[in-house]
Amino acid sequence: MNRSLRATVALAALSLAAALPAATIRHDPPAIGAVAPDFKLVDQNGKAETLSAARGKKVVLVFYRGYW
Amino acid sequence: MAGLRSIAHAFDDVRIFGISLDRPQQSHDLASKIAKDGRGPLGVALLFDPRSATIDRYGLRDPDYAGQDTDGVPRPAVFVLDQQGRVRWEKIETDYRERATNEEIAAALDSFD
Repeated sequence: MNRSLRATVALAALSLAAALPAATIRHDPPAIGAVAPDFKLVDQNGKAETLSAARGKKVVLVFYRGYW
Repeated sequence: MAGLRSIAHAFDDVRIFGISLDRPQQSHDLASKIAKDGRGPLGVALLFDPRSATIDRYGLRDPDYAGQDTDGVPRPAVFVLDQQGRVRWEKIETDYRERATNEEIAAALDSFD
């Protein structure tokens, strides 16, 4: 590889590294028996709901594509 | 989505949460539309996950949408949790034929006290 091409590739690699978010943690879906991760999200009436507030009841969590 | 209403009506002590990228107003419109048939309210809290933070925490970001402006959309999935918040049953869709049915969800809810 010639010098200017090598420099261009190095610059591109540095730019890409700078653009990536720091420490993006990838999670796997919770397994059977695991405690489902908590969340706090707003519902269709503007009310904030947390998963942990539903302790004491059975819960069904449905992730869906949405209608956008 | 309307099918989940029958689960909400059939079970006393169950909370049902839907999670998507639909904004609260869109979800409100959807819930109203479903309730217009006179068969009762939806009985499901439709939650807005604005930056897909929860979708990512559950490892459900759909790679098919990567790089598009719909990036962040989840793979459809259903989790049934017990009263301590532990996963008792789950179905994560990798193929549209694998969608969880209401019968499966009801059976999962019935499978434990």
